[in-house]
Amino acid sequence: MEIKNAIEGIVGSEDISDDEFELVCYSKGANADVPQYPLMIVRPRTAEEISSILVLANHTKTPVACWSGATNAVGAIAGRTILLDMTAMDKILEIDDENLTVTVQAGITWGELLTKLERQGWTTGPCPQDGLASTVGGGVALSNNAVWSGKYGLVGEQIVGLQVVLPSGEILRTGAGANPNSRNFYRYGWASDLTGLFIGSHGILGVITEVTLKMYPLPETRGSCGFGFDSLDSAISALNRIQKRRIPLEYAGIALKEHNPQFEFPATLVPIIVSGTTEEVDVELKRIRHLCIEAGGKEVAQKIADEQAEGVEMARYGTSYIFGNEIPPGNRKLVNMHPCCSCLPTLDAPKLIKDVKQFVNDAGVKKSNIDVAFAIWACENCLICSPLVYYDAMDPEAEEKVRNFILRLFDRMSNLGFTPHYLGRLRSPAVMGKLGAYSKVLGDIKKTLDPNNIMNPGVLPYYY
Amino acid sequence: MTLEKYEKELSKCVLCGICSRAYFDRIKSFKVCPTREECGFESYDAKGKILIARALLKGQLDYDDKLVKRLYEGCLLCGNCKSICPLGVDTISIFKAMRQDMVRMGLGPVEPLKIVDTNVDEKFNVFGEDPAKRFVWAKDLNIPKEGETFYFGGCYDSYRFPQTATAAVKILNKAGFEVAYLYDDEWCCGAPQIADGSITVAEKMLKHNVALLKARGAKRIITSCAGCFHTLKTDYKEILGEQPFEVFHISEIISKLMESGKISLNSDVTRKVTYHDPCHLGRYEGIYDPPRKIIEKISGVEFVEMLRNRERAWCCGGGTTEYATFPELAAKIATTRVEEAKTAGAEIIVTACPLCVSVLRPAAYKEKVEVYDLPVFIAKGMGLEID
Repeated sequence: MEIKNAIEGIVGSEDISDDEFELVCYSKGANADVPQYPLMIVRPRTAEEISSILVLANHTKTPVACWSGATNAVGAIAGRTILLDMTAMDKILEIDDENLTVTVQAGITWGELLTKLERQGWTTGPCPQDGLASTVGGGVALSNNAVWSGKYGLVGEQIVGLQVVLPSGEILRTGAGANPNSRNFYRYGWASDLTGLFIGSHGILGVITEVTLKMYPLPETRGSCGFGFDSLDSAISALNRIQKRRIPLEYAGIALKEHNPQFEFPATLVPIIVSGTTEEVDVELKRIRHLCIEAGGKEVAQKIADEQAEGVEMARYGTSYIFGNEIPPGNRKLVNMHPCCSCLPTLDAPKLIKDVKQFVNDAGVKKSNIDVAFAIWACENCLICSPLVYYDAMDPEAEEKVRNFILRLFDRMSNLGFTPHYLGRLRSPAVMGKLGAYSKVLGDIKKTLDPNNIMNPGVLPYYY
Repeated sequence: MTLEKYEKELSKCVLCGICSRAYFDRIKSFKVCPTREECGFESYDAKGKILIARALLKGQLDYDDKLVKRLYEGCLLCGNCKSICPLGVDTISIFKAMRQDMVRMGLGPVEPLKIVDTNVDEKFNVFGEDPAKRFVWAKDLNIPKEGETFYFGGCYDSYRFPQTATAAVKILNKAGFEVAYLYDDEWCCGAPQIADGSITVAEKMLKHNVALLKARGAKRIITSCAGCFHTLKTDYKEILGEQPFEVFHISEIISKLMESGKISLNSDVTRKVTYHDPCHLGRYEGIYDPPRKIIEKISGVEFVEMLRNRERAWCCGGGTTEYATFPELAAKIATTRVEEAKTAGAEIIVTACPLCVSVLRPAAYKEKVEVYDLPVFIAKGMGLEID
C-alpha cells in the first residue's frame, strides 16, 4: 500500500501496523458501537509527524482518526481510517507552578498526570467520567464531564490552550500561546476563543497534540457528610441552595433509594464531599449542614457518609464506570453500561428524571435485558444526570438492542431539554438535526478546516 | 479449541482499558502491562488479546505466523492484568488456552520454546543438560532419597544456581529440618510447557514427578523456585486432581523458622535492600509477607519498598517463557525494574525466584546493584558455606 510506505517513511517501521490482528485490537472500545476497523494504526511521537501524515492523508483523501484507548462510551472513532494511536505522546511537557498551568502531550492518561502532579502537591481538579485510564486529549475532544466538577467546573473549563494539527497539516496554537513570544498561561486572548472550538469537537477538526490545563494546589484535607431526604424534590432543593451560595463542592450526588434499597429513608441520600484547609472544610460543612437540614434533610451517620465518599473516590478511579453501585437491584448480571451523561438545570431535575423513567417503562426494554439506573451529581450551577443504560454482556444481540434504544432515548432526552456533553456515533443522529444554526455553523467550520472531510468522518453529522 | 471453554469469560470484559494503560491506587497510578509499555501496540496488552480471542472464536480471524509470534512475545503471563480487572476476567487462562490451541494446530510454540520443550521432553530439564548432572550440587550434602518432606530443586537452581539449592537445604538442615530429594529422578516441574501450551509434555513431567514423590512418601514439598512452587501447588492440582502432599515456598518455611528462633543470622548487612515480588509467588499465590519479614529481621538491613510492590509489582521481564524467547524485550523490562529499585535507594535486590535472578542480574550489574535469591542472601547472613 503506497500510503503505508509513505507513512512508514515518516514514523519508521516500528510505529505502523496493518496486521489483521492489530486492526482487530483497535476496532472496538468500551461501548456498544459496531466494530470500526481501521486501515492501519500509526503511533506518532510528535506534532510534526502528525502534520506530515495529515498532509499525505489530505492529498490522498484518506480518512484519519485518533485513538487513545477508546474508553469512551459513545463510539467516537470512524472506521477505515489511518488511526493515530496517541498513547506514545504521553509526556508532561511543563509544570509551571508560577502561572499555575501544566502542559502535557495529549496521549497522557489522567491517572498518570494526576499522580505525578499530586506528588508535587498539585491537581488539575476534575477527573473525567471515562476513568483515569482515559487520556487528556480524549477528554478534551469529547468534552468530558467529571467527578469533582462541583468545585472546579467541567474539564473544558480547565483548558488554557491547545496545540492542534489541522487537517491541512498546519500546526495551530490557541490561547495566549498563539503568540510565539508568549507562554500559554491565559485562554482568552487575541480574538475569538479558538480553544473552545476544539473542546468537544470529536476529532473532526484536527488532531489535539498538546493541552495546557489549569493547576490547583492539592487540598490539605477532605470532609464528608450525608443527608437523607423524603423526596427527590427536597434533595434537589438542598443542592440548589448550596449552589446558590457558591459553596465549592468537590462532590454532591444524589443516590436514589430505588437503586439502594439498604437506605433507611424514603427517597434519596445526598453524599457531599468538600476539600480545602481544615478550617475551610469545617466552615463549609457547617454551612452545608444548615442548608440541607433547612431543606428537610436528616443527617446520616458519619460512617454512611464516609462509605459514600469512598464510593465516589472509587468512581474517580474509574471503576464505577463499569459496575457502579447504581446497577438496578435484581439486575446485577447486567454489567455493561452506556452512560448517557447530560447536564440539566438543577430545579428541573425531578420532572425530567420522572419523564425519562416513564419513557424507559413505556419502551419496555427490561424484557430485552436492558435496564436503566440514574447517576446524578452537582456541577457548579447545574446537575449532571446520567441515565445509565445497563445491558447483558453475555447476550450476543444486546449491543444492537442498546444502540437502537439509545437513539430513541436521546431523541426523547433532547426533546426534554437534557444537554449531553458529547454525542459520538451512537447518539448524534438523534440530536444534531435539531440544533438549527448551530449545526450549520459547525458544518461550515468543518468545511473550511477540512474540505476533504478526512477527519473522523461520520462521527458527528454536520450540515453544509 | 481450548479457547471455546472461555467464551463466557471473554464476554465479561467490557474493554474499559484499565488493564491496558493504568491502574489507580489512591494517589498512585501504575502502568499495568510490561509488554504494552515496551512495545506500544494494543495487541501487546490484555484488552487487545481479548479482542483477538473473540475474533478467533467467531472465525473472523485466523492464526498466522505473525499472530503466533505476537501472542507469545506480547505476554509475560505476569498476571498484573488479571489481578486488577474489576470484573475478574481470567486473562491468564484465556491466553494460555490460545497457546494450547496454537500448539495443537502445529503453529506454536515459537522456535526457541520448541527447543525448550524438546529439552524437557528428552532430558527432563529446560537447558537440555545431562539429566545425571541435575544433582551435582547435592552430592556432598547426604540428602536422603526418601522422607516426608522433599526439597524440589527445579531446573534453574539445579543447573544454573546450585548455590541457591545448596543454601536452601543447608538453611533447613541447620534449623533441624530434614529434607529428602529426588536426585536425577526429579524432572522439570512442567511450568514452561504449561505456559507455552505444550500440555502433553507438561503432563508427562507432572505424572512422573507425582508418581515418584508419592512412591517416596512425600507429604510436604519445599521449593525455592517461585515457578516450580506455583506449578506444584496449583497447576498439579488443576491438571491431575488433588495431591497427597502440601507445597511450600522456602520463604514460608524460613519465615516460620526465624519466628521460632531456629534460625539466627551471625553477620550484619548494613545495606539498603529491596524485595522484588516474583509473579508466581506474589500475584499467583498471594505470598507477599514472608520474604519481607525475613529481610526486615536481618539486623543492619534497611528495607526499602519499590513504588510498585506486592500485587502491583512490575514483572522482572522473564515471565515463564519470555526470557528464553525474546531476551532483548526481557532485558528492557528488567532494566525498568532495576531503575525502580535504584529510585527506591536500594543497593541490593532480593527476590525469591531463580528466573527473576537470572533476568534482573545482568540489568542490575550495569547499575551496580546486587541481586540475590533469598536463600543465598540468608545463608550468607548465617555464615553457611554454600560455594
